[in-house]
Amino acid sequence: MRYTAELGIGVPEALRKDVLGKLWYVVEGLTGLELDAARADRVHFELATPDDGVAAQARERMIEVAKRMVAGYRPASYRVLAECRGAGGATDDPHAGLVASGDLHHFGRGRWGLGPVVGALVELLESDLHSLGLDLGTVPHRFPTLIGADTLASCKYFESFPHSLTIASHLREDLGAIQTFAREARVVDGHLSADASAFAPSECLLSPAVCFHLYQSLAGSRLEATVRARATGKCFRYESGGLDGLGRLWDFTMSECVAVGTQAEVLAFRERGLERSRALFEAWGLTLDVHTATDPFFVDVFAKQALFQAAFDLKFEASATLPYRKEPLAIGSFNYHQDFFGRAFDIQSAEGRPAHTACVAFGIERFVLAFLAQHGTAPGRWPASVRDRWSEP
Amino acid sequence: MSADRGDVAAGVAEVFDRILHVDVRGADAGIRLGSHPAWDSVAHIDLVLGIEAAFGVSFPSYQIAELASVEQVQRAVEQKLAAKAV
Repeated sequence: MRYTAELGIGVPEALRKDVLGKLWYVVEGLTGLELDAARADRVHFELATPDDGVAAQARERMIEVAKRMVAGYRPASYRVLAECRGAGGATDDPHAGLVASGDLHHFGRGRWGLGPVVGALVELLESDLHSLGLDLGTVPHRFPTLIGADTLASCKYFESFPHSLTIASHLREDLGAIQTFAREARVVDGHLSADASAFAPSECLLSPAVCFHLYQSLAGSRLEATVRARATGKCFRYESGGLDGLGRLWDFTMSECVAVGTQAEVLAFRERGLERSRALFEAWGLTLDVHTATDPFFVDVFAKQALFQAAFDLKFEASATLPYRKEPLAIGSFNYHQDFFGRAFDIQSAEGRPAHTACVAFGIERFVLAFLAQHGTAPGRWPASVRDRWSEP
Repeated sequence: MSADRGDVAAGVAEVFDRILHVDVRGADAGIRLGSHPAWDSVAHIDLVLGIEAAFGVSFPSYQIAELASVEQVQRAVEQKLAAKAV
């Protein structure tokens, strides 16, 4: 059954993606959520289990979300900082073909495995990102996939992105509870069914970004010089109904180069990172724009936080064209956090003031998806700069 | 609110006091964005939103970082109110 919600307020074109992304979280079991093609103040949706009461609650909450997100909106100063125009001629969504050839494996919502061709492309990209990291003067780090709840709290992540958290637990050290779990745990409709009282309080979550651990590792220190680090790791962001192939994974790989130091040093690092990344994009023959952007903050803080990022040019994004769909895909970002993390973790720069931080980050699977969407899956059609370094897996 | 300069100055001072707890008509007259512990970039957004609410104006995001002194805030409000009055 199809339901409609009248939002009572028009959603500006520039906010459609952000608002739609949050509407998925209003009630459980939403499906087929979409903004009306002709009217910006109307949304259509379905429920996995049709229920007029739940539908009414969904409508009420959708109105609240739309009003809160649109109320603080003002046209952003959207600026394009760099344009890359590759010569890709592909038009098809590569997912189906890659699944058929064994180069992609779908394990569940937001969980995809990479087969030989995609895996080899990832290795090539990681090699290029390693070179980029060296050019930016970074040194290697490795961080855990688990991140402490205290670390994320220091980053104010719970207020800013609660909707996308993935919370980890384990069974309590209680023989009886463990034995009961072992006897009774089942998977019902794809979900673990067990007595929730057996689960321990969550000390950790699955990390939503790579750089937070670096800041924690520097907590309470005074830097003698700018720290330049690089790390690649698994990141987790639950995107509900927005999960979409390699373009929006729950479990994805992020490669980051990070600078911690004085304002001037980290801004220069971001600038150099942008310049160096442009060369990378061109080498891969990608068509994309690097532009000002904001993060997908949660409803309650969206307006203020998005305005903050826009006002101070804190975030630039590289958005690649996906020829098979209308929306571009962000494959990298260039972020300046001012002294937020320096204050949060009590890191002093060599000047004796809270350190400033910046990072250059790439979503590995998204980068490769953009490449395959623009150039196709046949290596013979790839740009020479990739094809010549490609070896059949 | 009228575009009278005295009114604007008083209104701006009231918002600075309410949001940042600073006295821009007295001891804190010369403060600038980033020069005072109370006026960092995060508080700046609260300040601008407070100014907008008090005067019924709205600044484009590209202008917000430029409102970096009391004088610049006052001048920007005056210009907005004058533009509204036309």
